[in-house]
Amino acid sequence: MQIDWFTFTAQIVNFLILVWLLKRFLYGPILAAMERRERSIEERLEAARRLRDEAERERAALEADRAKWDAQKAQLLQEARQEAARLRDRLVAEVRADVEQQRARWLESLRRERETLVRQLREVVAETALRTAESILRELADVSLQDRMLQKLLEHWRTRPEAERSRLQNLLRQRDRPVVVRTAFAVDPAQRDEWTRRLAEITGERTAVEFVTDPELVCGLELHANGYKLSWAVGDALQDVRERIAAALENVAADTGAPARETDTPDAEAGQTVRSDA
Amino acid sequence: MNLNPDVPLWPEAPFPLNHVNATLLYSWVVMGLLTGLSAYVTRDLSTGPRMSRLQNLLEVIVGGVRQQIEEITNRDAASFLPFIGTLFLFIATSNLLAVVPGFQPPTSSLSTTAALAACVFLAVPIYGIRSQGWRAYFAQYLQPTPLMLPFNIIGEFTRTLALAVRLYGNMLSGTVIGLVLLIVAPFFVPVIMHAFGMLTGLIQAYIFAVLAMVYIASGMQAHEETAGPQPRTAASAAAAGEGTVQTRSATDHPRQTPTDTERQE
Repeated sequence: MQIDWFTFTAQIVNFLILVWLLKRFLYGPILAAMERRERSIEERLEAARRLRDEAERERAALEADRAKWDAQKAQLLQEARQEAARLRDRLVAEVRADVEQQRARWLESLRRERETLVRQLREVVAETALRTAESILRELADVSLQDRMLQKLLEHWRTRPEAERSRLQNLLRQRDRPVVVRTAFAVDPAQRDEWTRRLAEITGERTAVEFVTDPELVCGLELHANGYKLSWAVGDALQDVRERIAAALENVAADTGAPARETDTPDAEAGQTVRSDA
Repeated sequence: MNLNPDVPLWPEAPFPLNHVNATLLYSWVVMGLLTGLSAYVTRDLSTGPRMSRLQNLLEVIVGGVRQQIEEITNRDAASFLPFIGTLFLFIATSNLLAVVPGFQPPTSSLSTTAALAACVFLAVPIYGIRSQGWRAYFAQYLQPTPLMLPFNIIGEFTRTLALAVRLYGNMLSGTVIGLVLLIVAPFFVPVIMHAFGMLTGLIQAYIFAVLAMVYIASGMQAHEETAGPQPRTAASAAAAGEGTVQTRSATDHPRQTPTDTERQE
């Protein structure tokens, strides 16, 4: 254990040289490289952080955009649905109205057609019935039948209400104009007094009675006085029959689907009418 | 076998070759290896994430040394790194190469260890004066009282001596034990001893470097309130079995942290 002073000195020098060499070749370059690497890593991290922040911002913006678009889409969809519903309703309503209109038109034409048909039928039937009845009555009618008619007219007169009877009587009796009796067949002069006497119940004593023959009446009796007419005529009854037939046909037509129409049925008791010619 | 590597190899040669011995020769070998490897690796350094294995090795070593220095001194390692790092690398390489047959580690020469210790002995005042100036540096020899001046001076020398002898003794003992074991059990056992030798060699290199750093740091921090020696310093010194250092660190530079002050109040 001894120290060789030459070696000691040389080793100090050696060591200092080594310090310088390593500083030159090892520590300097290595530390610089490490620092550069750290700096570059730092820069990359910084860049990555920046990119991430940017991406985050971008993402948030896109998210917001998408939410906005979603809302818009939903709204548009809703509007479109409502619009479609409205359109559908309108179209359906239009079509319905159209159909309704067509149906109404069709029904109207149908009704008109039926009415025409009914009118024609009524006329034909009534005409036929009237002609048949007329021809039968023409063959049966004679003076004695007229007598019966007078009797019938008087009977009806009696069944009238008292007020009406007296009003008519006043009208007939006030004037001096004669009461005209129209018949289909001529009344015998012998019978005329008898008729005048019987009509006095209505006309009163003073009034003159004038007899007129009118074949158009077919078979009937009319009293004309002061513009008033009191009659019992088969023609009237036949007219009644015609109207009844027409009404019946009308009813049949109504039953087949036509809108029901109020048809006033005339009194079955035909033949007795009071009309004002004035 | 010659246990003294300081014997001149060629005594008959002219000056200075007649003074060249194994210590110097192998020191140059170590220097050449370290410098050559460094120059080879650093001629093409990569600064990207990919690098060569050797560069990675050197970065790990340099980074490790720098980190150790920063943990001990609590300041930037740039000014200490060349000195402390070279101490560590030179001693570690010398000790590790001891496994190579025929290689006589320069650290098993007392001349070498004394030279290194002398460098540390000189480095302490150099760093201390550069850090805090003449007056402040030499004033610390009068701490805590001027009566302590002789003991402080003796302490400076003894620790330097201890530094030199510790390394020398460890390395020489390795060689001596190896020789003894070769006589007792020539097979296998020396291999294990070589493995142990590598371990102790690295530990000695670490101890030498850390102690040098602690001495330099203590010389710089004598009057600095803020930067006291780290507890780790004491721990490292204790791990190295250096009780005197631990005592010195703890007594010469008590840490007055705000926490301690508050507790005292």
